[in-house]
Amino acid sequence: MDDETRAKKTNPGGKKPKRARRSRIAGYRPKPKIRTARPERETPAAPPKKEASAAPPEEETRPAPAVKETPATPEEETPAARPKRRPRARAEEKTPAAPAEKETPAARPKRRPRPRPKPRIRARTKGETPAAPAKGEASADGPAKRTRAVRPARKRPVRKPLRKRPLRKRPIRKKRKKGPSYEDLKDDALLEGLKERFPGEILSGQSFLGQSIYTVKPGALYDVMLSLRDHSESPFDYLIDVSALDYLGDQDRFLMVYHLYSYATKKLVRVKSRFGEGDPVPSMTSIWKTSDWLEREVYDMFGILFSGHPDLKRILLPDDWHGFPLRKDYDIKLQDQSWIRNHLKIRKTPD
Amino acid sequence: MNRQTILDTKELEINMGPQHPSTHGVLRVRLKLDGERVVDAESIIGYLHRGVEKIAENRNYIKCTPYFDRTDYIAAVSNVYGYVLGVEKMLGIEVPERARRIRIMMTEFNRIASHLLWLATHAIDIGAMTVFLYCFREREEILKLFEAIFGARLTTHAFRLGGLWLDMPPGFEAACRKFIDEFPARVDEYEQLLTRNRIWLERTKGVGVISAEEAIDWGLSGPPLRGSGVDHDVRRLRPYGGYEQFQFDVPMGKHGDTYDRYLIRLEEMRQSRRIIAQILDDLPDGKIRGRAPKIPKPPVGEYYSAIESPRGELGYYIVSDGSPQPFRLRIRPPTFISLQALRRLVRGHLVADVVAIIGTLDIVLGEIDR
Repeated sequence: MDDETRAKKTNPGGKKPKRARRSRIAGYRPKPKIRTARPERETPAAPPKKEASAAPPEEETRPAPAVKETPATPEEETPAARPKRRPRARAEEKTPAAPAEKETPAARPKRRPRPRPKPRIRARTKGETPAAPAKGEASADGPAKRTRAVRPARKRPVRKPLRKRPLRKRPIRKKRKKGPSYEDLKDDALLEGLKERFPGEILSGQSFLGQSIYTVKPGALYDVMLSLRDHSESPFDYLIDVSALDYLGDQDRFLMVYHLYSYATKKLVRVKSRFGEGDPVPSMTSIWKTSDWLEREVYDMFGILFSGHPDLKRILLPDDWHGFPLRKDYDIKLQDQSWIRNHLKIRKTPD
Repeated sequence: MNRQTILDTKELEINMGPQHPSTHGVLRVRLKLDGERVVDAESIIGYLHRGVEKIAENRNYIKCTPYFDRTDYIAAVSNVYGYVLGVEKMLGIEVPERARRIRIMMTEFNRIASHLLWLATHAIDIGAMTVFLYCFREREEILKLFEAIFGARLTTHAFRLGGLWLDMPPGFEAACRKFIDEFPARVDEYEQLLTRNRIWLERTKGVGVISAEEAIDWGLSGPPLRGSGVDHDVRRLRPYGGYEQFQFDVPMGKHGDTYDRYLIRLEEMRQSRRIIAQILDDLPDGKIRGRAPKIPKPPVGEYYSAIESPRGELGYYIVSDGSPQPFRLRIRPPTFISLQALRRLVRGHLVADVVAIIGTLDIVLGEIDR
């Protein structure tokens, strides 16, 4: 509340509360702490400096003024950001450009494995030596280094992945194409026999994952099925399943699917045929007795009518239920409200 | 009622179920009787309909797996197995050898458990109480194994796409071995109680006879079909999941009656034990799950995946339109189709035999109604 009132009184602008928060956060993180934290990171890196650069007392004194000389600290503190910052800053300075460029490409690939601190130390000692003697100039050059060093570091990671991404995408697309797909049946004796016997009635013979599929015109479906059961070489005497699919929006909405199996040749076959809404499907009950209940279930779930079925009525749902649940326009939450009210005495049902 | 009408033997309609102990759930049979002979029987089902196929269309391929535990709750492991195999085939997921073998082993354990439950209830329907207690003793051991490896006794949610969820816990293999070592003697025990029992023979021999041609015409599968002498086992004819590696016999009957189906199921339990023993002798180490996508999107297409569940041919017809949900998921329940033949099997028998015939079909209403 206080923040809001203050913000309203002082600055009625919309962005100002954010600033207030920022200042708060900055207040919680006192600047000296950050600075102390940074030299702490340096300290593990610093002792090797002493070892590497022997014992020149001038270098030891440098970290102490580092609090005041902010330019020197950020360079030393963040070893990860260094190579990104350095090359451009030094390239602009031109004087230490030659050593810096060599170091940075070597440093980048080596970072991931651990034994890298050694090259860093070398880089620091070499890089610091020119900057250190000119302490009076450092105040002028130092801030310039910071601003220049920060900007390129932001730009680089953005540019590089952009170059890599298109290269990665290509192989992924190729992999996706490898999935199974419908293939036309070749040299299929059954398909050729059917095409001879029913010219123009067999629309296609395909296979998917090794299972053959025959698509038949609805007018010839019954005759084709009868000829399949009485086939001389492989009589399909076992009707495994009858089911339907609902392609809502198509002209011929329903697709009848029959799975047949031949005990003689041990072959599994799928027969399909498209029917429009309201078109009667020929019942297969006179060919296989199995299809009695299976067709009743298809009628129950899809509302597909079967001509020639002896007892076509609902099987799983109650006889007075309205609607056909497996149709695509029948929502999963949809219920026959009047049926529930009448039979279950539930007056209010959830919408 | 005067005497004349009774002697006239008019057709009498009797309602059996849905709350009848021997209908194994909520099956209602409307019997037409001539005296005590059954003239006609109409099964009325759907009391347990939950619309699993519709639910599956509105869930993604992983989320709809647990629903198939609930279709056939007696054989939950093999029910999920059929579905998972189909989706894996469409996605081209490779299952590690260890997971494949554990899957087969657990499916066979499930077959034993299911047959034990069948034998127990079938016997108690006919009047043999002791067998019920004996069978549940062994079934309990299997359910304990399920709990150890899957975390649940009945609704196991056994298999995941690409393999299993967890590997076998420590000591599991030894527990399996202990069970299969003891089990043959237990089956002999049941046989001692029933196989030559005079009452059992009277009640089952020549009851519910169906010839091979008729069984095929009615689309029967599993033990009811093999009882009529048709050599049809999906494990052998269209091997899935690595069944071709194992040796087992497919028992077959001659007469196609209730007694033959009883003998077949007993023999199947022995054969399942044989498969488990082969797996335990040669169980490779390695991963238990292959790489499977987190949100599977099978390519546009269709696949019919069938397995030999304890009750017969269980099929999943999966149609994908490339989206994360199946466009259509059709379950081909074995007992839905074998229950259809009840009308044919019951005709001409006594009312008491109806109970035996319902029992011999080994129906599970959860699967029939879905």
